[in-house]
Amino acid sequence: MKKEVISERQGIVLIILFIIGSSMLLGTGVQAKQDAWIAVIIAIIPATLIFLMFSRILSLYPGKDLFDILIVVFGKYLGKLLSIPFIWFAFHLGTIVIRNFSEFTDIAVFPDTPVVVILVFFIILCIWGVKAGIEVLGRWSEFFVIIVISLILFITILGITQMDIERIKPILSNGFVPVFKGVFGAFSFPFGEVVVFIMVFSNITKNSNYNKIFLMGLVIGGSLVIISVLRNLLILGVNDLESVYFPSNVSAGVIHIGELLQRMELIVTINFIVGVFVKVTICLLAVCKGITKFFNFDDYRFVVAPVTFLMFGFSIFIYGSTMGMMDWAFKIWPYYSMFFELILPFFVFIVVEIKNGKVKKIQKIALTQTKE
Amino acid sequence: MFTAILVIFVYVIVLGFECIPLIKKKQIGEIVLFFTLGISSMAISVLLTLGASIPSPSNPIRMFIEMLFGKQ
Repeated sequence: MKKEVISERQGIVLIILFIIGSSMLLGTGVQAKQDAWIAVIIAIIPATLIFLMFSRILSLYPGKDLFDILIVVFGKYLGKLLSIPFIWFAFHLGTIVIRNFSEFTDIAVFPDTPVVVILVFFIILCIWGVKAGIEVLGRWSEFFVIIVISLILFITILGITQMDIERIKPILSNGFVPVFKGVFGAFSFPFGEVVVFIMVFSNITKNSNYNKIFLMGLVIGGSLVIISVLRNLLILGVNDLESVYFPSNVSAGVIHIGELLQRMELIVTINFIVGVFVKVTICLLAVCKGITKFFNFDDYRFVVAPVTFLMFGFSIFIYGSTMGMMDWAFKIWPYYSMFFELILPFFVFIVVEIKNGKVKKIQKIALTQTKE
Repeated sequence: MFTAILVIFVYVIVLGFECIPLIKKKQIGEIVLFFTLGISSMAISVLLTLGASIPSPSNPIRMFIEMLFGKQ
């Protein structure tokens, strides 16, 4: 089986699209109210640290993804046992993103069409994307990221006419506590979710390093998230923002320039579809790779279709209602995901570092002994 | 009832097409894993079309989180 290699640029682009995927849809840092933009800016600092941690784990074992690393580091049985929570996290995240997308199409785009019809086509595309592999996905994203970024900037510039700086004032009126809650929320969704990438990335081209991939992805993706959060706040204000489910969509819909430029929300929908597609496909890729490595198979492609259908089934019954979904996303998800995004990778990181230090020491001792 | 039969029909077609290369290469382990996942997802889809309410994994997680950190 041929090894799939992605370039630095493709890695960066995948991370950008992953970060802006569903955070564009739902908004982030909502707990901080009108200071959400400050919360997102602060959240980038802890995100940088964990991204460096991810890249360190990956760069110590070139050519291997997380599941291989777990088996190398922890041994066959404990490594496989530890890979189960990671697989579950990727599966759960993919399920939630599919559900977000289906709620979005149901509420905002096609209210009368049954959700299943849209999802079936979406899922066929996802199966196709995952089977094509991460290399094709990277090239695909390289093309689409230009469209996505230019559309976000385009909508933001057009939205200036509707903006009012008074809407983000008073700054820090409730003190720092809500801001920190917002930082916590923004850190877990979308930045921490990038943990899925350490299950997916295994081969990158020579002369490229993981540090650059993760940090560039974080900087560009994070600034796009900040732009969109700030835009939504300036256009809608806190009260309107809290009363709608999909703020970016509504804030784009408000834009009215002359008789010509109005009803722009369909343009924003392109962004959502591209981002959500990348996010679901990366999650699926992680789940499929994890399951096949768990059972010692070489290729992951045969398991893609059943896993995708399983995710599709789960996405229908995972929440009772849209209210339940939003409640979960902003109140429960930060606490729940912290275990998978911070604690588990940190544990793996420490063990990897200890093990590597030991191995290097043993090699040094062996070298000096042979010299003597 | 009709939709349930339709769902089963679609699953049989898709899984059938997908498993042909596996059967040709006689990869027994792969076939077992493939059908375990495929049939469980088919069971969930059929139950959903028949209107059964499947317990969501969100609720126990929510209860656990609220037990640990208090009601959010």
